[in-house]
Amino acid sequence: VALDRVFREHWARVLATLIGILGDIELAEDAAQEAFAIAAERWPRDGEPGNPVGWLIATARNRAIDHIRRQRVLAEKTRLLARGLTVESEAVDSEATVSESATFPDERLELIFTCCHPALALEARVALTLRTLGGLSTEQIALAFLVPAETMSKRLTRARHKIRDARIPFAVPPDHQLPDRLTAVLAVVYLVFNHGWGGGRVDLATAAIQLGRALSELMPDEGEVLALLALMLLHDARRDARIRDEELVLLDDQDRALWNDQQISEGRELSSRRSRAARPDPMPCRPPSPTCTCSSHVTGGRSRRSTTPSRSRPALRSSSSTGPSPWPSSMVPRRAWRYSTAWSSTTIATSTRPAPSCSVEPGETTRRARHTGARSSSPRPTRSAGP
Amino acid sequence: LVEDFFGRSCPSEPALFVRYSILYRSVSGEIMQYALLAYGSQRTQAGPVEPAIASVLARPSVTAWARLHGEGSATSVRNGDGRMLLTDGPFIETKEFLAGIFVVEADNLDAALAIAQDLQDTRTSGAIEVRPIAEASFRGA
Repeated sequence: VALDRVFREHWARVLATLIGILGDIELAEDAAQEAFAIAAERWPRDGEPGNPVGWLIATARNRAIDHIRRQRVLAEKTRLLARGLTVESEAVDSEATVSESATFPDERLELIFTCCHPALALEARVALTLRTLGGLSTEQIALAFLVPAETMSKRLTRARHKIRDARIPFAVPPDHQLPDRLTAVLAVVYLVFNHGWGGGRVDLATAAIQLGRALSELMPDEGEVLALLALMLLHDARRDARIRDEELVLLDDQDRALWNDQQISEGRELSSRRSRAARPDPMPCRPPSPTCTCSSHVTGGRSRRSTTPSRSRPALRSSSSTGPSPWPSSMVPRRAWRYSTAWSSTTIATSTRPAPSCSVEPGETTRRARHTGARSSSPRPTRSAGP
Repeated sequence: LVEDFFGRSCPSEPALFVRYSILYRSVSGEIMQYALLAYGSQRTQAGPVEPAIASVLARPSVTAWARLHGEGSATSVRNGDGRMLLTDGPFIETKEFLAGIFVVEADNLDAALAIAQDLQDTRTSGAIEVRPIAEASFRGA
């Protein structure tokens, strides 16, 4: 049970750093899994190390190096091994000698931008993000999207190989690309949330909120990130009140006693933080926004009696489609900009995007995401997730 | 605080990062080659390359390029019954066909896509497919 917690808390962090070190998602995933398995065996016996993340990363890294040594076939990886051997010979039996103070860079942000790269198919982005950052198993993801596990496994493998072969960079995009790329990331997170929320899959909604939390931790100044997290929390707060006798209960008819106060206050806090964020941005909490809708109802009092006749409709709809609307991008008109013309965050901020009408339940819109592609050179040094 | 290979500061043991820098470098050091396959329905114009395209082609990162004659000039070679079978026309008969090939060097996919975007900006239709090159050899000129 404690290891469950350890896995949930540390999987993404450990995997991201390993990909940064090893430069290969598949290898890093295998090694991370091995490290967690070793931890499952040892920690109950020897106690949890003081620096569990460092321990897991170091253990996984050494496993990976072992693995590479066994697989001398690929010249590229053998080259890596030559370096790796020095690492290992210096840190003999690193499992025991991982320094308590050793910290590794947190590269979850690099990882999420890699997984949500527009060069990958949308379904692949969603699946890969759930796998790498959400820690869901292939079977769980397959179940969520109603496809056979084998199909999902192939989809994931294909995505990993494309990242490696086409060398999709393992990096946070430079500033001039960030708005578009961030929109693509948020679309994936919101798609996951919608799939969980609209389709009644609590675990996916929770995974999306976790991703949102991780993003808001990593990019605390991005208004769009805070707004998305607020949106998800405010929607999720009404989860228990939303369905009664397998029927969807609309907002006005919901039993407010079932709303989650803590999530509501967190969502409101986030949305006010977002309004205070230094960079003015057009996303997405413009009236009518979920915050306004929700908070107005909240301030109106939980005991407010419904004045409208009861309306409800079947809660369960087919969730065999890829998923309902990821609004961040579907609401964003494809911008006709040229990277060669100078444009800055100011032009982004002033570009107009229609405000999403979020009083609509997120699951009810059906537009699919359309992403703008990568359009510019990257002046910053970037690392590849491929060998 | 120490800086890692990418100039990000991290609270850490410097020694660890020196070691990781070596690993990072081994992962990121090599330049990739990409083939940019330009598809379109327009006939290749005879005569000099348009200045807009020429300026892209003149970049050092563009290591090879070829303009192809129209699909009407294509001949496809197949094997059949131990004999060579020739077909008049392209392998895949489509409305849009391969019009040109560019080979570029780039650090990663994003950089290759940026060049493709610049090339596509000079065209009014069609698309450019970007494919990483697994192995290549260029001789002559």
